[in-house]
Amino acid sequence: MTTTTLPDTAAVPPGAPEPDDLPEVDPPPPAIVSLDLRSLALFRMVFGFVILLDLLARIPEIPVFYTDSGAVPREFMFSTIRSWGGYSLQFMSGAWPVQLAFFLVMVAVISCFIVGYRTRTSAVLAWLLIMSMQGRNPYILHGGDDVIRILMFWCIFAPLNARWSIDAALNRDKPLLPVSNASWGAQALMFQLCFIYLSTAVWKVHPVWLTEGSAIYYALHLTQFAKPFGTWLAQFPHLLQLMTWATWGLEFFGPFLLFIPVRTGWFRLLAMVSFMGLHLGIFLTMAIGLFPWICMAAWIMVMPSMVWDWVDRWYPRLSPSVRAFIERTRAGVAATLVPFFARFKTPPAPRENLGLAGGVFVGAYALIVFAINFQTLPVVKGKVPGLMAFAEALLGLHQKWAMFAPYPMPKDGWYQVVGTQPGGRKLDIWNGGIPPTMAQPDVIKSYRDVRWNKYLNAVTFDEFAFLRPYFGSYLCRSWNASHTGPSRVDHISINYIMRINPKPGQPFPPRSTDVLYQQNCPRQPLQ
Amino acid sequence: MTERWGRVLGTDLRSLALFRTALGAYLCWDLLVRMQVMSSLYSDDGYLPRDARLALERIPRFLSLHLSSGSALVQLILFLAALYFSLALTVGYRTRFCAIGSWILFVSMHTRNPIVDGLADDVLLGLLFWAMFVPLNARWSLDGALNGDHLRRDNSNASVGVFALLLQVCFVYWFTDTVQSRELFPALGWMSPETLALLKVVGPALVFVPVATGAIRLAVVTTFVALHLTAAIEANAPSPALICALSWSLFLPKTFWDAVARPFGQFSLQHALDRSVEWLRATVKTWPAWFHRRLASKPAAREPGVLQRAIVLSSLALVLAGYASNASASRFRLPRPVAAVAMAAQLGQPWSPPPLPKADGWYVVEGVRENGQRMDLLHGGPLDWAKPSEVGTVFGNFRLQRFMRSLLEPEMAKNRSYFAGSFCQQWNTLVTGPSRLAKVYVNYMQGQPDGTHKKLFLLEYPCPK
Repeated sequence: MTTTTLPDTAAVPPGAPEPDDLPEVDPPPPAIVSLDLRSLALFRMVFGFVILLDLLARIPEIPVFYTDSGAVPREFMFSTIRSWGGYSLQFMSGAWPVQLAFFLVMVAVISCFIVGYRTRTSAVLAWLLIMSMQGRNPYILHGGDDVIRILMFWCIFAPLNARWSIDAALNRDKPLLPVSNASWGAQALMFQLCFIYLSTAVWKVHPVWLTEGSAIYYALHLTQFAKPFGTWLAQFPHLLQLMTWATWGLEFFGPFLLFIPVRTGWFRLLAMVSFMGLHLGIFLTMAIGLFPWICMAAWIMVMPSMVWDWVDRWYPRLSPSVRAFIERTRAGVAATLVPFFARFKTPPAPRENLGLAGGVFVGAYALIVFAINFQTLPVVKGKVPGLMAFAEALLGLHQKWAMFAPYPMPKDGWYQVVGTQPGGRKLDIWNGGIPPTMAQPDVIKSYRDVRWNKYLNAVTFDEFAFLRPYFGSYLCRSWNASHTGPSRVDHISINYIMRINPKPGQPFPPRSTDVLYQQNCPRQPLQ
Repeated sequence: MTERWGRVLGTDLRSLALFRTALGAYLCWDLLVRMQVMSSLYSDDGYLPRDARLALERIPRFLSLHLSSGSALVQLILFLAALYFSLALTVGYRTRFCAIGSWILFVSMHTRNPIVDGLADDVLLGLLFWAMFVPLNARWSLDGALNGDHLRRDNSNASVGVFALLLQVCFVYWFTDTVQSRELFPALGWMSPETLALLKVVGPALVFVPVATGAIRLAVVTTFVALHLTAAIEANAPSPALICALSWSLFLPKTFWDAVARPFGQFSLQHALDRSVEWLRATVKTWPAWFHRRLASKPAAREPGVLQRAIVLSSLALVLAGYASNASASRFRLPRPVAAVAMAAQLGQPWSPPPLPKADGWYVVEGVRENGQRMDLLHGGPLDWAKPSEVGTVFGNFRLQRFMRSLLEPEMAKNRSYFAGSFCQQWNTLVTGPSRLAKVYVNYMQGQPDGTHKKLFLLEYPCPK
């Protein structure tokens, strides 16, 4: 390998032996089972950064989703859950300062993960805290949260800190690990990534995806998700049909591209670019928060070594000013971060692989997890032994990758909360106090963000009807906290303006009002 | 001059060590008693699941790690952690860390189920809080012996932390009302309330008299320990008198320790401990290196820094303000955020009222099977309404007895179904078919003034299918 010249915080010190000069080098592991350490390091930074963005986006919503005066109080959680599924450190308190403290700790831990300081410990803490956060309020989670939680578990075992990390920078006296890595952890990460797509493809075995090819048509007619570009695309049903088939084909066959023994690098690059393209496409057409970015970050891990070789080859050809800028930035970052972390006890050096015990643990766990998830796929429908299911749920590795599967839901709509004021005047307090109307609002905006979207979708389902009284009280409380006297509301009605989207080519039915819940608002604000 | 004031406002390091050992042993015992009924009192399958706990008080600012999960397994982990901290406190291993851990877990446990706790636990939490700030490990501890720093310092010790801990012992007397004092001094029932109040104010204050401090302290300690211990021996439960007697060990003066140490000369307790630690160190050198390293690098007892002093002083102010706002006559109220902090840390709380009068009555829990057969769910076998030989011991465990007594109160009525439901769960996970449990009737045989007992029907609970 050549020493990297990318912006990094752990550049090889001058005078350190080039790996080529080392007396004896083990032959690199077979390409189909190995990952590049530089790709793993870049994955660590981008993946961590996306998680950080996700955490920051949740902070303003702490009062609604994580406190006792919000829409999902602990009292409600405790009365509906009775098991491991309900484990969360954040049940400790219902007050916002305590919840905020939890989030700030998480931000600190993820920051350590990004810069690669005590990476393994950071990953363990991040995984525990993320599990805890998700357990506190599962009604606002999307598939991307499962990706984050589960990949973070496997991150504990992978050598993510061998390059561009504080751990490596503070252990410069140790030799650099060879770039090609076939550790247990790295392989578990890679298999997990493949499993997500394979299993979602199996969940999608349905005429809507396979023969009719109308899945994307349905998805883009969901006004709560479709961005303007998506709405524009929705007018070409035949194109959508091709895209549907292409998506399913990529999800089912794409993961196998990583394991082709000839020209492995090229096939991996193809897989990576295709999947990133798929998620970029989803990002351009649908508003589903950070989900596409989480998946794109995950695909970085399979980036083949040849990409890094190209980078090394092209770097000297960049104009000197650009190179100088990159070098300055690199040196600046290193000069800020490394001395800061050097003040503490030196972290352990990056390790190439786990010991035998760790390897056996990861291997066994990976087998359990993948066996269970294979068993629970709709085509297999096998039974899972109780102990195995417990072993999986204990570490939060239960997974069901059924996004838009077996087909995108045809039910679509938006919310309207009609509040009645003391004078009898009615207004829509959900959409900013306008007079109630059936006209279509800016639907994506009316759902506020992806967390509210998941929550509000849960509220529409009758199986989650128990959420509605708490949502109702929250709405009364939050409106009447800032509106007193004649502008307060005495009664609210939570309405869902809905329609069932028809098959392609058929006319759309008119929208109807589904009254989900009604209640009187208490005279005195509760808090 | 400074040395003298140090003696008046501080105490002897050996007294702190005795206090540490006694406190640790008490905590271990307390935890073991609770662990016998852990899943009934602290898990979601028990008599007070987490939603019922939150419904007890609409105060959201309670911190409890024990609320993080309803599973008995997680509770067991937390209890084992607390047990480890208490054991380590007893022998003085990683003392500061373990004192902090103990305090966090005991506050958390108390918050999870306050119904089973009383005045004794209030006193305990107060002592545990200040114990985090004092050099408990300077004498007779593994920490001290492993670091060899026990010879360096004089035995007397005064710091804001120690002073606050000593004051906390006095607060128990100064800020309890007459009814609570009867619980502390059952032997002084003959005294008039005025005399008792005078004793409570003056007695503890005497320990801070600047002249003849040692002699006065020894006299006060002897008196109070004797008074408390007679009460504690009578009670077959963790009575507040026991923990108060324990806390008086803090005031044992230098003169006492010097007198005790003299006759033994070379064979003092410290000497024996040093010898055993030397032997231990020689032995562990042959053990794996990582283990040896862990054991050897113990933090020594350090002088409190500025931050620690600031925490102690502000906490002391908080405690005093809390007591002031609790007094029935006072109109002083803490600002809400401050009150929330005080509440979360259990500082300056109102002392628990004395327990209900000793129950003259017993529970009879009747189960009806699907096939109509009736049975006694508490004792097994056919239904028995007769008075048990020892009324108080139907539930055996003291904490459980306390819970069951409070379940009789009207405001706990809606929580009775969890008690009944636990029988359904126990039976119907084992038994199927017509011998399944169908209904549970909870009755209480209440003692009447004329000596007879009246059946009090509390609840009919149909088992879920």
